[in-house]
Amino acid sequence: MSAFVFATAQYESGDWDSAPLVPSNIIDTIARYTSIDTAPAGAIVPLGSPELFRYPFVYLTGHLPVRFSDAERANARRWVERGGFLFVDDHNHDVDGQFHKTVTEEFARTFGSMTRLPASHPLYCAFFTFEEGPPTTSHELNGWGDNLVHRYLDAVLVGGKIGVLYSNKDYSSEWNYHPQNKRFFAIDNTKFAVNLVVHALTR
Amino acid sequence: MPSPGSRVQLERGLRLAGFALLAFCAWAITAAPTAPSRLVVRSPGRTGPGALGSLLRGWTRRAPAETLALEVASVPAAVERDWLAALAGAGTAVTWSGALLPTAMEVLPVSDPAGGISVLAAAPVGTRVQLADSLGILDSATVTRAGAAFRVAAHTGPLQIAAGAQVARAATWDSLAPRHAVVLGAAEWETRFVIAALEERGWIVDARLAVAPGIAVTQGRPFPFDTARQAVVVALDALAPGEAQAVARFASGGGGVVVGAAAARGLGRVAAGGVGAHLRAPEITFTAVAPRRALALDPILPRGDAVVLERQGPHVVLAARRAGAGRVVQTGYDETWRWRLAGPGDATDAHREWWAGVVAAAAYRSEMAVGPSRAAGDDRAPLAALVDALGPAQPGASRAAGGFDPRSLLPLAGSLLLLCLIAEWASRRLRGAA
Repeated sequence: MSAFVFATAQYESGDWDSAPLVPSNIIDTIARYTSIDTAPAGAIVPLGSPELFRYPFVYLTGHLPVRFSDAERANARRWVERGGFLFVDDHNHDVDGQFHKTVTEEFARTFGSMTRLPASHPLYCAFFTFEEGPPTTSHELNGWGDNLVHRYLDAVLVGGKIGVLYSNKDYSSEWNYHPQNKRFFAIDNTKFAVNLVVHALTR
Repeated sequence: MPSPGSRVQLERGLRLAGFALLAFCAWAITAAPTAPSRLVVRSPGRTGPGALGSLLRGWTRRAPAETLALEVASVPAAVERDWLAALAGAGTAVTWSGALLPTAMEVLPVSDPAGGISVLAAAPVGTRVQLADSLGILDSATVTRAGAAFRVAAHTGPLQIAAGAQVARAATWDSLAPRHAVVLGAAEWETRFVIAALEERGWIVDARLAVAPGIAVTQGRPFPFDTARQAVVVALDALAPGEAQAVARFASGGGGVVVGAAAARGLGRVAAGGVGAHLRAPEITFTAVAPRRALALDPILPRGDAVVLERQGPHVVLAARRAGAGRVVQTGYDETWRWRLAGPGDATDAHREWWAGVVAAAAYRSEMAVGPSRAAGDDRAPLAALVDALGPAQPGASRAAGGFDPRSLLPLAGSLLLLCLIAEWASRRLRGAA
């Protein structure tokens, strides 16, 4: 039995490490709510490296323009085709931002077109139930970015299963705090991360 | 030159002989032949519509011998065996002899949504056997102590195994009633990728994956286990209380069970064996030749009645045993998902094929009912059927004796009659008589 390892993708362009506290916070959340065997520390994995194939779940974020190298593109495509689950979050929460424009273009080139996930998708009831789709973040209406609430997540489906999940909701800002500070929140805002991991592990 | 008196005597004699021959012919046509005490028939080969078949038709029209001794070079066809058995039932002592090669075959539909048929052949060790269908030869193999096995993805008409002159035939069918596969385990990569492999193969997967104490993600309707609905249960992690008994009951009722190391510990005597110390290489390096060699192992300590299916060096990593009416296959591989994700070449396909094979080895074969046409052309163990019909071979009986059929002399008698009449007529003409 292998422990779940929360891996963060390191890519050559952009600022891949813009949300350094997200991994530890999500690991804490997974351990808090589930019995999933979870590695206590996350991993950083270069997107163009064979190391990528040791981690079926990888988180990718950033603010800056993204342009994969040929090696990264080929590696990521092969990894997704084999069953990898790539969760990508736009740290700008801005559909006019450089990250969104470049990463969606890069995904179209690497993986093909994306599909909008309906609010009824099993992802939203994999563990906690989010009847209205992806939970809204406090950062979506903070005056930065596009100042929009993004109702849907997009995905690249491989054989009907999510291979790449793309969010403009800026969970990277929402979850980028030390896990010990969860106690200051009336409602744990990382619960959706449990759904992400449980869905990746079970579907 | 004979005198006219003696010629008259000769002519009278010829006329008398003619009448006698005519009387014999009349009697021979109406008289029933007497059965021979022993009839020996040497069959040069498979007779089907040939020699033995026509003889059987003749024996059916007239009284058979008291004893019929067959010397055969190959096993008579099923219809001929039945015919001979009927003769034996009617009072003729039928015996047979011949150095026949025991050949048998079995065909089993593979419990796999991708279809296919498993063909098992039995013949003396070292015999070369050929597998063929209606269109021609499909494959060949040399028989080992375990026989010979073939996997046929597609074929036309009945299959046959030929070992020299001996041929076993089997009608086939491709109708397995679809059943579900159940996967039980924790929410982890191994269960996730095994489910993916089975679904890609075409299985409808019901699953229960534990994610928290008292909370599980379910897919489909995994419970209760029922062979009417499910063909196989794949248990990859420790089973919940009560589930082990349910899995054991499912196996004893005819269901297939595939277990990993953790589940095997909970199944006790139902599992194919105990579980040895966990083995893991410090670094996972897959090779194209033997990709599973890189995986971590929970070696199986097989029970006495278990059949070892796969080894890695000295370690048993796949074993099976019967449990009641069902089968249990135990795998000693840990984290096969790493092979699928990181293995060389077409690792995804190879991982899927391997798991499909493991599941098929255990899964309940729920065949659809088929009509009598299924049996047509079936002759899976011809020598055994011959022994069953006529008893074992009785070598050395090869001399015919007794029995007389006067009709066999009709051509000779007719010829003599004609000769007598011509001679009598010629004699009279030569001496000037009218």
